Amino acid sequence: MNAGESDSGGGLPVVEPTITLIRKIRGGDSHARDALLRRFLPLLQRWAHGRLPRQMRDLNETDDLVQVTLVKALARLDQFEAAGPGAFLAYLRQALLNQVRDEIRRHQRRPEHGEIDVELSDPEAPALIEQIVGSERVRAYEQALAALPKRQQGLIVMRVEFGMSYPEIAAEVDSTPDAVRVMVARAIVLLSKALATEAGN
Amino acid sequence: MTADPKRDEDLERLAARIADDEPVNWQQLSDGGTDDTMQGLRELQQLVQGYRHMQLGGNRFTPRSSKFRFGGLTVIEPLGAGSQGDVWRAYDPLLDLQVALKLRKLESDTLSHQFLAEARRLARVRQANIVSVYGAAVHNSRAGLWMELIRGTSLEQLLSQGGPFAAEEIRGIGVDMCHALATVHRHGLVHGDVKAENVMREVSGRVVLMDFGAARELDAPQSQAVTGSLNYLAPEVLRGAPPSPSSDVYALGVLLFRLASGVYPYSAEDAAALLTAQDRQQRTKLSTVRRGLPRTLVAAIEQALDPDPLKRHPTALAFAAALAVPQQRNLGGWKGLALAAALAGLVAGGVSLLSARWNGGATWQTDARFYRVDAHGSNALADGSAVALGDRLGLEFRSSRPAWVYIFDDDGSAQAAVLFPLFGMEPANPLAADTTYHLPGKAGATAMSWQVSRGAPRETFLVVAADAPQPDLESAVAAWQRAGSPETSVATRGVLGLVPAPQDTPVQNAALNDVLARVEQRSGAEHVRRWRYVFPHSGG
Repeated sequence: MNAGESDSGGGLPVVEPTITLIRKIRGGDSHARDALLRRFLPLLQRWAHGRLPRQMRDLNETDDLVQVTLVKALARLDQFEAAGPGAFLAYLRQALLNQVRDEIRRHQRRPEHGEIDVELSDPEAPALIEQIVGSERVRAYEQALAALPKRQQGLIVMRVEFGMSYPEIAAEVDSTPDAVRVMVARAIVLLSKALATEAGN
Repeated sequence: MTADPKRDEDLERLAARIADDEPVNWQQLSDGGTDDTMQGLRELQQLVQGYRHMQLGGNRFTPRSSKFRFGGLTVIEPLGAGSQGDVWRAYDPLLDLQVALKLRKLESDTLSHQFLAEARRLARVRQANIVSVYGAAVHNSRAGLWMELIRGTSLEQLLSQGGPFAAEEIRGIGVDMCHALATVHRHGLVHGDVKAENVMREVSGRVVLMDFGAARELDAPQSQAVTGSLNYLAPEVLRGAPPSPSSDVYALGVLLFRLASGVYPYSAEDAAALLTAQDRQQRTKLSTVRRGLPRTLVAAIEQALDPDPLKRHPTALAFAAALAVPQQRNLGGWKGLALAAALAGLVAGGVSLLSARWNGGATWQTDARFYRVDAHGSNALADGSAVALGDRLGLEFRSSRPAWVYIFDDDGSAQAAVLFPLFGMEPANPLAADTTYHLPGKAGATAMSWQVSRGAPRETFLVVAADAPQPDLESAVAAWQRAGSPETSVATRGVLGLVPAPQDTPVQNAALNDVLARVEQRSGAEHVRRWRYVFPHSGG
């Protein structure tokens, strides 16, 4: 895959495939660790702002949460079993969603100042993406996405949720932008069928 | 994937567009996008758009100062005041957008539900040159609607700052506004207050029609008070007729007149003076207050200002077509017919047959007859019928086989003008068997017709029908000018007689003659039908 800046303007610099960085981190390369953090932190933070319930966003904890999740994920790289190129982001995304659920539960158990804002503490307070497209739609999407093979999940998450450009995704999955475009389209067709199946159930 | 490779290909193509957040025309799909997978894709499209919105700007803007809140909006600063409401810049956190919030004035005599009717009307129309409405609500007993925040300058301001506009600017603004109005009219609405103050030009050059406060339904009761701005009011509206698409066309004519000259067509202080001036036809001619404009542009604007609604451009689209005529087109080539919207009630029974070639014993039966459309309906045209000023013509066509139909204006010029098929209009070839068509067809929901438009010795129609695709004709049609495209339609004048010509009359246009000869030789004469009509001008 070619090196160089991405074409998305402000996206990921396409320098080294993530899988290469992960291998280096496992080998104790701290520069690779920093490079991976630099690569994914802004992307995940931006994503998390839209995916976390308003409660989390308004508590201004999103960025911290993302950092913690990412650092934890890096610490457990040995456990991370690459389901294929490009799966790392999908893995991080899932780890973040799990972390969010834990955090919400923690907040509900321990109001910090005796009183809690009813609106902010509402566990049902929708995430921004849910406000925009509807909670039901997001839930159906999550279920359909989970039913797809990991590789297709990764492609969809990278393109749709993280807004990565095709060259960026190509770098992640060690392919070409044109091939990635076709793969993403096919993954979306698969997902739409899974969505239709979910709707039918 | 499915067992149908073509279907898979279509689905992937759609999915790629969705992944790239590009527009998808679901109506173009063969099944209208109704099956389960398509429904899934539609769902995904919503999600992709939601994510893309967040990626583009989600959560970035947080207003630091706000005046007050209106529902979920943070109101930032006043932008201006209108007759019915004040306009504020506001921030919509859900859309993560700055918006223009129009709040009903507390002292306004407009009721809240009337005020909000503007939002409902606007919500129905979506077009690039029309401001988009995002929402409406009543909070603390105050009605408000919020819409796209246009960052630009009104044409009135531009006029006062920079003086009259250049010809190409006028033409461009005119065409854009015509398309905006055509959309408004197609949704059964009349804008009712087209004026330079209500059209904004953004820095990008996009012009946007604003303020639908005076808009009303086409079928609204006539008792409503006259609204709109005096100088832009069409004579019939000034006399109490309800606003109509034609009065919008008139107002746009005034607007373009003003952009070109800096003045109004009538210089009147009040309604009474304006009525008097209109009665006496004391109107300033555009050519006297602004010299050097292309003749076609002047003619298009002048026609829009005709006191008789029937003599104005019949639709906003026809106005757009007239505005877009390049100057040189008027000097040669096809110029006898303009595309016009048909008036109500197409074809009231075939009174007389102008030309029907019903091939009695053969298996392929075809029928082609011209008719005339006027304010009272339409009539089949008998041989030799006179055609009055402003009449519009159409062709009724029917065939027992699927037919590829081509209609030309064979005026002897180098290029035969194609009157049918017309790009962007329905129907297109092939025409289905055993179906009666009224050609040239429809532009959107508007039925169109041809309008005879010039003084010349004669006009000649040539109608060709074939029962199989004709590549030679198709490529010829692609090459020749098309009557329906905005750049070729022209204004209307002339009183003509209409007479069918003998079948053996040679085709004047050499290129067309060559193509037809090839087509008939290749397909066999029994598979190609040809009708030819010469319309001598009265006195010609």
